[in-house]
Amino acid sequence: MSDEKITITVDGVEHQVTPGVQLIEALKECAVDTPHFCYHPDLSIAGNCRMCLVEAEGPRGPALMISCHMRVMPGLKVNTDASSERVRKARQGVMEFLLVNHPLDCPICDKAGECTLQENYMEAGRHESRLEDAVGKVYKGAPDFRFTDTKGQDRGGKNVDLGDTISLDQERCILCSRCVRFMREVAGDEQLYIAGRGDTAYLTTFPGDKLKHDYDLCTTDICPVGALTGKHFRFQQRVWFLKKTESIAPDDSLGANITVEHNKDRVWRLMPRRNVDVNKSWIHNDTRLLYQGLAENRLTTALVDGSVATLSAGYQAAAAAVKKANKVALVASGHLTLEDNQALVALAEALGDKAEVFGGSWLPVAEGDGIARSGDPVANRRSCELLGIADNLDQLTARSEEFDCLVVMGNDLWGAAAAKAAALESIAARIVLSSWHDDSVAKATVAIGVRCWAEVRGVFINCQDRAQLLNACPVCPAHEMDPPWQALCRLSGLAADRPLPYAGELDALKAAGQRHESLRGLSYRAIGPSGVALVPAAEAAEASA
Amino acid sequence: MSGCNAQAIIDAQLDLTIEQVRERMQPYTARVAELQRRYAMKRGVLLQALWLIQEEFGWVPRIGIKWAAEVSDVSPVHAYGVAEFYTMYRKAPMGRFLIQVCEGMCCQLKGANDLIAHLEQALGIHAGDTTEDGLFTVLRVQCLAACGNGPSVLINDEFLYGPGELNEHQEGWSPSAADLDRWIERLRKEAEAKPQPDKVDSLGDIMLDTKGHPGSDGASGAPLPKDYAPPPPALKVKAESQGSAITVSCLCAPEITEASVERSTDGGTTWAAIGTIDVVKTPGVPGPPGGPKTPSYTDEIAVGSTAAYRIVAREAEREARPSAVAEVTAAAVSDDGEEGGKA
Amino acid sequence: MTAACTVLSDLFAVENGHTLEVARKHGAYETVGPMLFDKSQFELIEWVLDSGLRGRGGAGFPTGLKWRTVPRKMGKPVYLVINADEGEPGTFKDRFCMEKDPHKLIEGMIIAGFALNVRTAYIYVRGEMLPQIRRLNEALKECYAAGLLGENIQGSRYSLDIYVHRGAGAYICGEETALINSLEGYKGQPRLKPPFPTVSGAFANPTCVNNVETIMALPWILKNGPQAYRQWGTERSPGTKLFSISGDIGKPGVYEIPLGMPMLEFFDLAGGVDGELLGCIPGGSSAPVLNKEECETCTMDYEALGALKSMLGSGAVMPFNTTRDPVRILEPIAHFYAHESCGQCTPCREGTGYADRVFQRIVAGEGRAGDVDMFFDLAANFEWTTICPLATADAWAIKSFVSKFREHFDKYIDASSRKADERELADLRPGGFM
Ligand SMILES: Cc1cc2nc3c(=O)[nH]c(=O)nc-3n(C[C@H](O)[C@H](O)[C@H](O)COP(=O)(O)O)c2cc1C
Ligand code: SF4
Ligand code: SF4
Ligand code: SF4
Ligand code: FES
Repeated sequence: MSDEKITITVDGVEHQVTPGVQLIEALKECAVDTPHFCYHPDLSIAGNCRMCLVEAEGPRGPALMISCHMRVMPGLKVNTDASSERVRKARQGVMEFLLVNHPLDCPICDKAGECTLQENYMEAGRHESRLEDAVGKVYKGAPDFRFTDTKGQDRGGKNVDLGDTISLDQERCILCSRCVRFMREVAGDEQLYIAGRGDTAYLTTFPGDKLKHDYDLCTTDICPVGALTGKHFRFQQRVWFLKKTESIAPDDSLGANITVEHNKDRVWRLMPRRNVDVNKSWIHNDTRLLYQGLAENRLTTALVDGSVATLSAGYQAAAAAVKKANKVALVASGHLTLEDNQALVALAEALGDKAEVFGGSWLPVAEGDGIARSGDPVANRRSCELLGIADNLDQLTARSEEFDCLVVMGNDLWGAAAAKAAALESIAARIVLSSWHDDSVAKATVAIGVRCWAEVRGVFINCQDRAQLLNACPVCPAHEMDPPWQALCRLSGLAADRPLPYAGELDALKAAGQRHESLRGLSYRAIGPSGVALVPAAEAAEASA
Repeated sequence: MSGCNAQAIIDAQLDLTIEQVRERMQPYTARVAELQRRYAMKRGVLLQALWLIQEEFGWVPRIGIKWAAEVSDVSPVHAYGVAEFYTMYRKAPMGRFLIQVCEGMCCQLKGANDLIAHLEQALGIHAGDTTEDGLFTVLRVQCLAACGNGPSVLINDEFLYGPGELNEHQEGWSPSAADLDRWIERLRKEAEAKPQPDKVDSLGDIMLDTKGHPGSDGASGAPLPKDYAPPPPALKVKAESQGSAITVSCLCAPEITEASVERSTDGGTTWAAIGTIDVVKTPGVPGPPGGPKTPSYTDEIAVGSTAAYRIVAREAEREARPSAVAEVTAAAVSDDGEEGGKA
Repeated sequence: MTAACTVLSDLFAVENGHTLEVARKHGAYETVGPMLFDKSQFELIEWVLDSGLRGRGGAGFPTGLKWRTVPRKMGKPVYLVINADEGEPGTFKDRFCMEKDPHKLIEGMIIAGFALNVRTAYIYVRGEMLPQIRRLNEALKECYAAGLLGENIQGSRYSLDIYVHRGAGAYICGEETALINSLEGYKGQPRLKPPFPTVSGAFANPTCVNNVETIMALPWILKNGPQAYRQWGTERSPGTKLFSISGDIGKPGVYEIPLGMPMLEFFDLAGGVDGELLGCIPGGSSAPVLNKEECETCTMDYEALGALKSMLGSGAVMPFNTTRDPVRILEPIAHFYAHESCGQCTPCREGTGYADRVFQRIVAGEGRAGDVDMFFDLAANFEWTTICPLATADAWAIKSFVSKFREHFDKYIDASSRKADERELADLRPGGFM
């Protein structure tokens, strides 16, 4: 791809833009926001909403064109609503038409606050309406869901049970066909269609069939209005109360980019965050619903021999066990951050010869789905590999006799394969750092609660060798809990001669840079919200040589 | 789809399994196979398959839509969306005789509304409804492309646009209220005489043994040979003189790869090749890249002499027949700049 | 019908002219032999271009130019699809043609098919025209039996199959990309352009869509040469065209006349206007209406009607007399477009219906002051803002009727019981939606 920019003229001002892109994207580069409904950068172009109209200079003079369908060409001249009365009027017209048959639902609509229709109405719409009850509305709906309301008005489909996860309001649908295109093009399973025609057209599944797909909740993200809403989020929170933290899906090694939305110490939902190189705009339903288990069953204290203890008592007990031990097995985790694993490796070094690091996971690896999952549930497996941690859990079980102390960090060995893990129960001291009361905690002699993925900052390296950043949300149920890396620091202070010198996770990250060429020089700023591809080791070595 | 109110549609749905529908559609196998041969992808069959369902059931039940989806290799919801789009697929059963009256602009001018009102009165129903005996349904429809005989009327699938039988056309004839009364009477009698209506072939009796679209499932049609048509000769050959300089120009098909210019100085008896002519696309000629080309060639002959030119174009190995001949006499350029002779 | 002008209509009045036997006696399929097979594709295309033949489906695009853009040599199948979805209110020539002379259409398709590298061709016929579909299928069977279709036509190396595809009721399928979608088993919704169908049409292959009448002119042109075709018509609108005339006219029907004929002369030919002329829709409901003065000066060709900001369209002429109320003529038209909107793009889907409802209110005598302007303005808002020209056609009809017959509309408002309604208040009411 050539980086050469081309020149176009927008509202009389020349701009440099990327060649070959849709005009609507080019306008974005020029800091011109174009209202739109049907256009979505990760779907095919439908061009049906007509909201993105601009005036473009053509062979027969300026003509109204939709900016989502048009490709930029050198020398293109366009006028937007900023300079063209015709564009303003056309967009106002489109807005008016969109509202003609739209129900007056905003106060009870889950989309209110993030509804594109509402937003664009404020911007381009007529603030004075000439819509009148006298000419009536034509509400959209399948025959199966039509009803007559108390005023005798023929109504469309409301609260349609579209599937296990989604509720549909056919009246609110503006027929942009995004969801249809998503199911056809991305999910590869056409279950939605717009049936009928004219102003009575409506969105539907085959009558009687339910929408069912691992990614179907993505349709609720891309639906520009409150037609498709996730049942899991209905009436939970008004969206304008939610604060957003950028993070990475912790359940798959593709590392789908997500936004954690939280309010009042609680995560209310996980939303996909667009990253063209990773997950586009999509996340798996299971990823999305991870937040539901997040606050449940948390281990916020320590457990010593099965009894609840304070965290510091837990650290004391753990340190004593480590100190006493002749041989310690430390198990790293591909579910935790690069920093956490770095700390684990460093702790092993601090403990000297008596410590040995193991790694890996017994969770089964599935096929990728080509959408937003690689199939490997060990999201940060690559970090472990780059830190030189071997995938050798089976060796650990084979040699369990050699050890008298086991430290497992965020890796639920018993949860993944209780039968295999049973061999480890012969190890006298079993120290488990975990965020939840999981099966491993149940088998621990000492368990210590740590912060979970949503509550820490740190780096995940995905299966494409891309470093991505998790950020901490203020939702930790017990403020005195440590992130795993810090828990290890604390442990090393108590149990090793040389405490780990990490004041913050950044120090751990820098230390990790010493272990592998590809990790050298990483910083949170460099990774940024969209991540960076790691430089392959050979190239990195060359560059530094 | 056209039809009745929401409840009626839901109530009408059949309690059949897809296996039972497949069974019932057995007699249509030959037509389905023929249709599947006809399109590059089976999807093309969908509209016709829905017609077959309507032929069998008299309307399009949802379970029938699933069958149509199967034979057309599309998702059921696709087929449903499509069935709902077109007005002629009936969402629920209708009367044995469907009388459709056009309410378009021309037919309204000719009194369509009165005619519909008359029908409503005569049958005791509103347009859109079916008589209680299940015999008649009246529909207002859009232009039926028989405006010259407006108000246009269709009885089932047959045009009423002449005084005789259905489909017997008479220029300028218009149905009157009395004509419709007569037809209602006649149809009632027909129903009495024949309680079970005959099935009408919904695809208009298609051929069943065509070879099909080359490459489609079950098709045996051979693709076209690349060179079934003769190679294209150069067209519009012109020779113009600018003094002794002769410009020979022509119009060449995009597929022309090479063209040679031939000259005759004996009035077309013997020809000699004098050179080849560059056939790259000329800018400014309408059409995409690969549109026609207008190449030219410059020759030199003595002022006052006459020569004939023709062009022999080639499309790869194939030589086209020689173009038409253009004759030119090289004229001296006169002082006032006037140009020489033309062919 | 003038005797001199029977490019298309020579068999219309011949008994059983639709049978192969009779048609052949009148010269059908004479072109399907050396006259065709010895020509190169390019020559045929250029002949059609030189004849000046223009698309008779509505847009009037030069057929030869369209053919030139078909990539014949890409190795992809090229389709020829005949647009027989005639549904433009007022138009009934294509139905008539298929009924009276299906063989001329088939012969034309063989010519076009040969010229464009077509192996498979379809005739997309409106669902309502089952009798005509039967007739076409009958004619096709005759042709297959006579070796005029199928593989190696008449011993040549050219093979062509023609299939009839029955539509199922949707005017919009007349729009060529909607027609292609419908052929492909989709809803008949127009596609975004580019790509144009000649480059990527049915099943993503090059597809040439032509109207029935356009194709039926080909046998004559091939037989007589492009220049002969220009003996009729004007420089830019050469040849003859079928006009379907209905409305207040003595002898409604289908007439073949040379393009460029004065409109009044055509009226006389068709039996004269019943009563006193008030106006005329010159090219199907999509063509802006003409008032009496315009009718008196205009000629029936693409340019003259274009100059009046109307169009020749499909050649559906509907004069109406002074006893008619233009408002009541527009009523079914506005309703038609609302009903036939494919529902794809916003302005057309919601706007045509909304405008129709406002109009219904006016017609019902409940119009308010300002309603006519609002009606006009709504139309302006869906003109040229949509994917296909359907909404624009509605806008043109509305705008032309309102501006040319304004006083008729105002009468409804004056008579309305609610014209004194507090319109202003309604106007100022803040967005009814928040
Ligand atoms: C809304 C709409 C309806 C149309 N309906 C028809 C039609 O019924 N028949 C037709 O031949 N062309 C119709 N057309 C024109 C076609 O799009 C297309 O231009 C034509 O089939 C091309 O053939 P031609 O070049 O031979 O005219 C319609 C166009 C539009 C926009
Ligand atoms: S979809 Fe948007 S505009 Fe419609 S009711 Fe919901 S918030 Fe309001
Ligand atoms: S449900 Fe939403 S995404 Fe789907 S078509 Fe309607 S508005 Fe668009
Ligand atoms: S203008 Fe109307 S008919 Fe045309 S694509 Fe848009 S909605 Fe469909
Ligand atoms: S975003 Fe361009 S038409 Fe919808």
